Amino acid sequence: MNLNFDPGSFKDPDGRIFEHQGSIYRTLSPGAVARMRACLADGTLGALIDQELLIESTLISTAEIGLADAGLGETVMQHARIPVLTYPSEWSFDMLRDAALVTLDLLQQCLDRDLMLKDATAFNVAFHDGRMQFFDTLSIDDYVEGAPWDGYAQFCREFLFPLMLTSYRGIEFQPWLRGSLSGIPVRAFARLLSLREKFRGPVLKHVVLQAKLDRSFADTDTEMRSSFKTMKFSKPMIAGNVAGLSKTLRKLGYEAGDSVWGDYASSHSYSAEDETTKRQFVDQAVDHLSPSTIVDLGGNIGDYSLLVAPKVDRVLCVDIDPACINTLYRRIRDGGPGNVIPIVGDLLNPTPALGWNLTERRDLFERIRSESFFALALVHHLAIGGNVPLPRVVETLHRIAPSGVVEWVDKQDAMVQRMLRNRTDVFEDYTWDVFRLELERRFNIVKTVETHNGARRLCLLEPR
Amino acid sequence: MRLNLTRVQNNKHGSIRRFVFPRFLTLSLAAACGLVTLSTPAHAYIDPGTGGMLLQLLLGGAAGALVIGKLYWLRIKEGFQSIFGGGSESEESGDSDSETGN
Ligand SMILES: C[S@@+](CC[C@H](N)C(=O)[O-])C[C@H]1O[C@@H](n2cnc3c(N)ncnc32)[C@H](O)[C@@H]1O
Repeated sequence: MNLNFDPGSFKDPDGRIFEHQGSIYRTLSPGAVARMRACLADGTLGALIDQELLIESTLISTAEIGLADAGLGETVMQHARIPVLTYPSEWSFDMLRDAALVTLDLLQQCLDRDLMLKDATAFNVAFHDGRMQFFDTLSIDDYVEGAPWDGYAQFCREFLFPLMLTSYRGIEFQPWLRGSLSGIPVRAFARLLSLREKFRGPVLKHVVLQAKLDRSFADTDTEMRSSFKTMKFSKPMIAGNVAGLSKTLRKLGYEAGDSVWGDYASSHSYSAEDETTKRQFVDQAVDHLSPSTIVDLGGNIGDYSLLVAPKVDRVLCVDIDPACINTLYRRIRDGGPGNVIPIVGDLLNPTPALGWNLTERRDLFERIRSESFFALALVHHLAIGGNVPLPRVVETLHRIAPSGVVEWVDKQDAMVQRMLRNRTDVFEDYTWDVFRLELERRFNIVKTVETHNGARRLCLLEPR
Repeated sequence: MRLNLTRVQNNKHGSIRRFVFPRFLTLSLAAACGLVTLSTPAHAYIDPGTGGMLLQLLLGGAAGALVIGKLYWLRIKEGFQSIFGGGSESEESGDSDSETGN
């Protein structure tokens, strides 16, 4: 039988994710079966799931799902399905911080129960149902007396250092995490900090000293693990480190320094009337198209995503601005709808396929393809801001979804004029007529409405 | 990792010649300090990273700090002894920590 294995799940010899008849499962080695049985029986998994730290995970017999003869043994693990997985480089500051806190919280509870986490990669966490949740259940392992926390350095590279980079230096971490799937190496990070920052307590400890020790002894053959036993390294020491990290993370501030679009929603040039028209148009468009999935491209802080969320299965809100996506994440986390997924993403340079064989992590377009798109007040950013010819913009919109709503912003519009103020207008073809022709090649234009005294146009697009 | 307890980080100025203390002596010295054991205890699924491990020792209190102290002491001692030994090339390598796990 050919099982549909997840190409990103291969590192842990204890089990691999696969899909079967629309559900998500994980194979289990004999050791893992025993461990997970125990965790299920003593209520560990139940408690972690109830606290919304861990994604739903349970054991199921292979006979029950028709895989008795698939060579998977008697038992596999079943997980809740995460319909769209986003990666740490696509998260905002608070998303990465909450993912870090979930990891630490889970680790602490594991320690309380004589368990451990095998690793501490940010890829063990997903945004799902409106919050950050740990989903690599197999990372839960037995605690070995006297052993260190093996995931500590990894935790630093993938969570602590990127968050410090943004908090202390005002440099958004997303491009760094996209560039390196294993995060920011400790020695590199130490070189990024100023002298003043190096004297902050947590930096001195987790960055300066760690880098120093690494530099001094990484190139030796000295075995260090046994020293932990000799010196009676203990659980409270790990717990102390975990508690300290958690406190440090909670204190990190996030100021959206260079955010261009942070207060777009409150500062844009809409009249109240135009805005009402736009909201009504979008709302009715969704009724008309009745898609189950929508991707809101250049969705800013998610006003339109949130507007239509109750009508669909899910809305993906993609915006290049991490500060906007952070605001949206907070709106969702603090009581907003769980079916809106905030994604930091640049349409001019979307997340490519990454990792082993280029299949370990999937490209952004493959993951965000939906039944309908919104491209509201976005096209001028791509066509004029990014010099992408209109035919190509339309081609790509069509690739992302076969129907949707697009808002055309004319060259006369104040926003476009501002974009052009210091440059030569080389955009002769940036006209409504050209755009409409391109749209008609790929969609049926069902309806258009003018706003801003004719400087903008809302278009409802059906599949052709 | 390569075995060579006498490796020294220099290297803005390229590699310099170093004298190396005989390897078996280095090893027994380390063993005497309780740094090297032949049986490795628990397995680690990911590389915990040299700095990451040693920092945890350091945070673990006096006993851990002592181990770190020993490591540095070993190094100083070897520096001395190297003056009377053979030669080797040494060269700075990049960060040791670059694995992911999932
Ligand atoms: C004029 S605002 C429109 C916001 C929202 N769609 C609306 O209609 O109210 C344009 C948005 O597009 C985003 N944006 C600009 N260039 C982008 C790109 N290359 N990729 C993704 N988003 C982009 C901006 O960050 C901003 O939030």
